[in-house]
Amino acid sequence: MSFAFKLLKKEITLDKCTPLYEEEDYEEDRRALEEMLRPLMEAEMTETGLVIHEDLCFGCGNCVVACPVNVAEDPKGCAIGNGPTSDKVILKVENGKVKAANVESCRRFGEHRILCNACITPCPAKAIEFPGG
Amino acid sequence: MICLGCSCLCDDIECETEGEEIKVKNACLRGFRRIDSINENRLTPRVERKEENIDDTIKSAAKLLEEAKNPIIFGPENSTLETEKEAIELAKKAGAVIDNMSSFGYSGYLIEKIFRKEVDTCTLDETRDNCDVSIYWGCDPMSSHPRMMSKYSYYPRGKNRQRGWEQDRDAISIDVRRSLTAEICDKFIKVPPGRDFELMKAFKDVLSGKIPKFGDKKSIMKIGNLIKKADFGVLFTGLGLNYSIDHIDDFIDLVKDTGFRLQPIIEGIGLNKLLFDETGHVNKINYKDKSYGIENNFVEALKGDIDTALIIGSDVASNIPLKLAKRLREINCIYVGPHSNLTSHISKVNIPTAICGIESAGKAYRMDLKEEDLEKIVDSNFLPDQEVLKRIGDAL
Repeated sequence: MSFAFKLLKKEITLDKCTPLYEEEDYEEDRRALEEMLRPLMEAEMTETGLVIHEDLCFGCGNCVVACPVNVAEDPKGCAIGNGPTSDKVILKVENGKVKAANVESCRRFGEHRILCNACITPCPAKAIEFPGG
Repeated sequence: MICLGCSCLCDDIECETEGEEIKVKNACLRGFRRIDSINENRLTPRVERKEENIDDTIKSAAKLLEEAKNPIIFGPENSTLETEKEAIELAKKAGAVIDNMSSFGYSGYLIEKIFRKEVDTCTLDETRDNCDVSIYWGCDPMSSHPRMMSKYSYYPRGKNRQRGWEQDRDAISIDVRRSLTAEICDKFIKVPPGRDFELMKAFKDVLSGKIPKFGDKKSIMKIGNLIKKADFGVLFTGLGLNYSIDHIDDFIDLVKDTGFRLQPIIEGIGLNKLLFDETGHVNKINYKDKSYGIENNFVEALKGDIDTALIIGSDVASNIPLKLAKRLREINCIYVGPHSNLTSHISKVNIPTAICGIESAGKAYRMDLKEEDLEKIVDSNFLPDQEVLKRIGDAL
């Protein structure tokens, strides 16, 4: 299991599992795994494990307005549906795509982290995910 | 700046330019692409596919309109109030029919009812501050107006809805398919195409305490009760509903019974308002004899004896059946707009214009009739579309 966790956290790459690449019997499994992990490996993952698939995002800003940290940090901007007026927000839309910043403020980060999914639920395009769970 | 990408007219857009690169904050992809398109796919002045200078294209357009027996003006879309005013003036001078996208389905009819104050409506700001139940019937704002739910109807904290979408608001989608909007709504009713009227009757039954006779009775009763209890409900409608029901007045009665506010999601409401103030109707006006009627609808007119069409900023050829698009290619079609598209491709005269709200300034109405001032952000050599229309009018 630890290999799988390291893989999801991008601390290790799939080619470190040598039997997958050296033994012919595993070729089909290797291809399936590569296909499954492709979005994760291509996407830029933040320190909280937050992955934004920019190819799917169309910048509706639902996540920006729904994120509880954005709401708390920016009551006169994000909280009322407008673009951010504070530098402390986590999610913001630039050039039509959502971007992450200040991820250390995310409720999934740090010692007292919780499994918040306020940015995933409102995304109609399924462009945000936390592959690590 | 204000984004004119759709009729939400988002007013919190920030735009920075570094050389040729543009950085846009807060705009959705649709809005960003519009701003980013200033150097892309621009229309070139052409007459019969031959490149000409702008003055000659204007002269050619005026000549075609002058010689026309039955001209029609369609649009403007994503444009300013000034352009809409000029379009009406031009229709008067040319004795032309004037119409826009609102005549497709019942959008225009609903708008007219709202203008006559026969149906309740509200502004998007009132929706944000008060709405507790929003219904999206036959529309998919996530695709057509991407920021509408995040900026107004569902996700933001409003003055009287401080707990936002998690606890204070419910969203219901009614559509023939699981749209992007349905993906994020609390409830979704899938209606087979053409059977919206039966669903309306089912809701009427629930509202009068009867058991509905259509679809999943349990979920319809649940949603019906939610509608009954709504404190400030808003019903958004789109082309999906407009095309699916034959008895629009029954639908209006249902809206009145529920006490919901009606907000049709449409573009180009400015032209509708200007025409309504002048003629009492929002579209389908023939200025030759000041008549109003279905025969002046763009599609019906194309089937009839229209011989010249002036299309302003609308890629209408992409939105009509192929047979009618071919008819549009056969007649004298003039396209006025910033970008090339299918309509410009089949037009005999192409007149390029500046992109409103980026390369030219003006005023525009949001879908709830809030007036916004559009600024000029970048300099350009293109003429604003109102000036092009004025010059065509002057040359007539």
